[in-house]
Amino acid sequence: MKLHWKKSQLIWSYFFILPAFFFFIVFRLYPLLHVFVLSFQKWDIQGAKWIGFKNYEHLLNSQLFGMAFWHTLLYTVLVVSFWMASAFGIAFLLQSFHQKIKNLFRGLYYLPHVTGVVVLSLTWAWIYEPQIGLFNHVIKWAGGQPVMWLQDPNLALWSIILSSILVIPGSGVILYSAAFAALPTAFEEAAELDGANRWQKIFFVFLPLLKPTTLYLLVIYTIAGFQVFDRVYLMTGGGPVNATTTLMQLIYLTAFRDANYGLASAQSAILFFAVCSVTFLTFRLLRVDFTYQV
Amino acid sequence: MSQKFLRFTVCFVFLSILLSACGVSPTMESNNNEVVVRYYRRGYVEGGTDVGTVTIRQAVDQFMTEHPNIQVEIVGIPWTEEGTAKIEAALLTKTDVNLISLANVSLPGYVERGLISPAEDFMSEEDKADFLPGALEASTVNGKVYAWPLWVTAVAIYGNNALFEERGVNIPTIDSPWTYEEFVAAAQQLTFEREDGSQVYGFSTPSMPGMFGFLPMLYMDGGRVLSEDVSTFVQNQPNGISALQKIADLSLKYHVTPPDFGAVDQASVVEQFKEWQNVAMIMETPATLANLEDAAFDFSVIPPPVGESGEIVTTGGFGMFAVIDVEDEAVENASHLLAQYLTSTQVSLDVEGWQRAPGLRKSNTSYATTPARELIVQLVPYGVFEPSANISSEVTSQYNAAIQSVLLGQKTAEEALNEIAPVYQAELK
Amino acid sequence: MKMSALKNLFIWPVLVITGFFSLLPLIWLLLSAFVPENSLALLKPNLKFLPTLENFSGLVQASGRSTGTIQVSRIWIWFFNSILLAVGGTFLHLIIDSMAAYAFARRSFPGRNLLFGLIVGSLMLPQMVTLVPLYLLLIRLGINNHLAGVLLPGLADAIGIFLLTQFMRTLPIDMEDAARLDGISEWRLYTQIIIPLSVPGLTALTIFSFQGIWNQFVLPLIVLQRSQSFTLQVGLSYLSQTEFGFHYGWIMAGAFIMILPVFMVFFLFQKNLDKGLRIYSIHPS
Repeated sequence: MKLHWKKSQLIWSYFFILPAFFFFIVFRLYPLLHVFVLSFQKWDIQGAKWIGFKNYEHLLNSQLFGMAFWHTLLYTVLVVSFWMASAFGIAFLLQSFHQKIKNLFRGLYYLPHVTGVVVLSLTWAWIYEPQIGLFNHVIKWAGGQPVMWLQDPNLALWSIILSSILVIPGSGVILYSAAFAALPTAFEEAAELDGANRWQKIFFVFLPLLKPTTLYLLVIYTIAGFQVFDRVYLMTGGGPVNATTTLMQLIYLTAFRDANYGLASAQSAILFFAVCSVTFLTFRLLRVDFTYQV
Repeated sequence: MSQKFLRFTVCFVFLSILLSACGVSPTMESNNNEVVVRYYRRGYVEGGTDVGTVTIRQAVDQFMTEHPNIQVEIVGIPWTEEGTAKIEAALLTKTDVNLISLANVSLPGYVERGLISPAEDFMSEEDKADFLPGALEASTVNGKVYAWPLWVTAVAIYGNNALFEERGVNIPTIDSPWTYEEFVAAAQQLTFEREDGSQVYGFSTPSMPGMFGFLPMLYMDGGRVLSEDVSTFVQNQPNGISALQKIADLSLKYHVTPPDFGAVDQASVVEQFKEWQNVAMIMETPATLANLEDAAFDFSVIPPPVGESGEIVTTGGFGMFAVIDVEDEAVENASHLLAQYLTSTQVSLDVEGWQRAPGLRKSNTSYATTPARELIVQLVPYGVFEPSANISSEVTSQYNAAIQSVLLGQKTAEEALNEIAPVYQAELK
Repeated sequence: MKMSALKNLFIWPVLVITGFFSLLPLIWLLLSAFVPENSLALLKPNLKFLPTLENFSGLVQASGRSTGTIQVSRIWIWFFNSILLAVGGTFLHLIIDSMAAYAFARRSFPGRNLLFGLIVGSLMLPQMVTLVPLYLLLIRLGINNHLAGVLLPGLADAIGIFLLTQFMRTLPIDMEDAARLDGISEWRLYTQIIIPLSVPGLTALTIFSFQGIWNQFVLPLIVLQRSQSFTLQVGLSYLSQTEFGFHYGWIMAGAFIMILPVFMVFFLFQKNLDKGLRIYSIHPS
């Protein structure tokens, strides 16, 4: 079909998207391009100087950067797999309930999401407090030794991961529930007629049918996982002994404590490529053409 | 149509401007003959009621009354690395920060980055004659006086008198200080369970990277961090290693510290000591002394324990003001004027309670007003003030992490210090 | 095994336990905010859980007073800043997003799919990597230290445009043609026909924008350097890291103040939520 556009109509169309694109170009696109430029510079208060790949070389040899990368990866893999499993599992279990109970539980799981990470992290820091916090309170009452949840370098990262996975991701539960509700019952009935048991049904009926939702959540959660910052910053500040330093925490410190903006940009660029390649791989592995439909 | 389009556009633009203008603007309006000085002050709390905040507020108000054309805006930042981040973010704007207070150790870093406007050019002859030579030396980088010296701090132990009495522990004097072993024995005696089941601990001190309270003890066996000519990292020599291990042993071997020792911030330490009273001794700077006095807390000043070096060692820092080099000459001059006033003898007379550590002018004798303060003054000569080197914050943070890993029992002092030595040495060139 | 037995033995316990841990921070927050600090702190066996407001008065007093023309506790200044940011930001989001969504959903023009693809694709990019250049940009624009420095970057809102576009695609097509035949101007078509029809979508966007802006942390943390321009989130975390030390009762009282507005908005508009949630609930925590 050959479309014929009227000029005044066109002007109106572009006028409607103009404000949105103005902000996109200025505050999203430009900084994104600038990050790569900065990563080849030594950038300080006096000005910028091109130094080629020096920042990247520095990162290759930096033990701290390696640690931060590993912590981020560990956090992402563990938290995302727990989130995916629990969101799917709970949505699946909720399926058999009456609509009212379903709504009640979905609301409950969604509440922490409304609360926001800052409040959750402040509260978790308080729960983990070594002398008077809730967890050690309970441990002491049960006759155990106090645990240094956030002060012990061997434990701190695990405590942060625990704080993430204990709170069921309400967004995932709601998306999966909606997807379950939208499934045509015919498939399930057919599987039951064929004598499929519960697990077979999950693996051969539900999981394939819910693939778009899974892919979508996986990508979104992975991107969020790689960028974990708020809870690390608020609960440990990256310590003790850098045991919880994640990439974003390191970027924050490099840029805003050490005033090394070039190096921080190189770290950001690496984070960017890591996220992009993981996202790309996820799309390839799950082989779904992403149709903006959730 | 075009009229409506225009109306909409105007509305939109107006709304955007209105909204952004509504945002509480921190930048004060300044007319032609008015200068605004932005002063970044660690530990200052806007509207706070602690001694430090109240006195700085009064001093600045006094200054503004005397110089009606200068507006001073105080920006409070924390002592931690977070505060450093705030200064860096402000430095980047080239206008948002004009005056900072800092310790002598961080001065060379700022000077070498070309950020500081030298104080020497602004000091009068009387100033130069009045400041103690040691103070001017501490503010000198590459032969030039860059900062305005304010006071010198000496870290000491503060003990809770009631707990000492309850547990029958005697308070040592500066003439017969505790040895490390006696200190440990006292701390063990002061670690006990109260009848209501709550636990009291003998000793604690800030131990977060960026604010270590135990620094005097690093020197108690005679070791240093840097050699005198700032060319070599020497803390990994035996007398440096043993001292660090002794600090870590307080928690790992003798269990006289609260469980958060090794990763606890200053506010928490002071609060445990002052409000909960579940820590009997803390090692802290004189700023805390002023706070305790202000709260009428019953405490004693105790000299740091003596190690193998055989004499009392304390440390601390020279508190000073540095003016940031900005393009606006008038602002720079006004900042120097403020720094001059804040380091003058006059300010200690104008503002009651201003002097929270021994002053650095010959004419200023307003500090030692109580026996506790007297003791701090007596401790100052025992101070080890290491020469400052320009160490990047990345390596500083690695060094801090190494120290912290010893306190937390991750590594022995020997392992940690030998590991960090080459990294640190590389920075010294 | 029968379904009901399975439910009682397995499903219910799983739901209750996971639900309990999910809500644990909230429960503990409420408890700590309304219980006297010393009864939480000292682990005395004779704990008496008498609700009290002393944590709130402690918080309001200890957070310091602002020194400007209006002298109130800084908590209220921060609360006001947060509200201003969230209300103003949500309002601008509604305008900008609905305009763009209208163009993408209801109009055709060259490059539409490409531009829409760009917007949706930007959802797949990690936003935080642009933090450093964004801060440098805000300095150059002179809006660092300013609520506008937090507000404006947030207006590039891919998710809002996406949500509204999806919603507007479901509107019936013929009323536009009818309106155009009546000779209505394009602008009035948008304001008087599309906007009223899109109210459910706009309501959902209101909730999520408000929630998103209210809970923002990194950007305000970096942009806002002065305590009088802090948001509640930045201010409270600042207090918890510096001056409050062990006063968890105060911090939790502050956290309670922090969740009130989002919870109010959430419960007020909850009915309209389900539709929007399906597309929008993708800001993971």
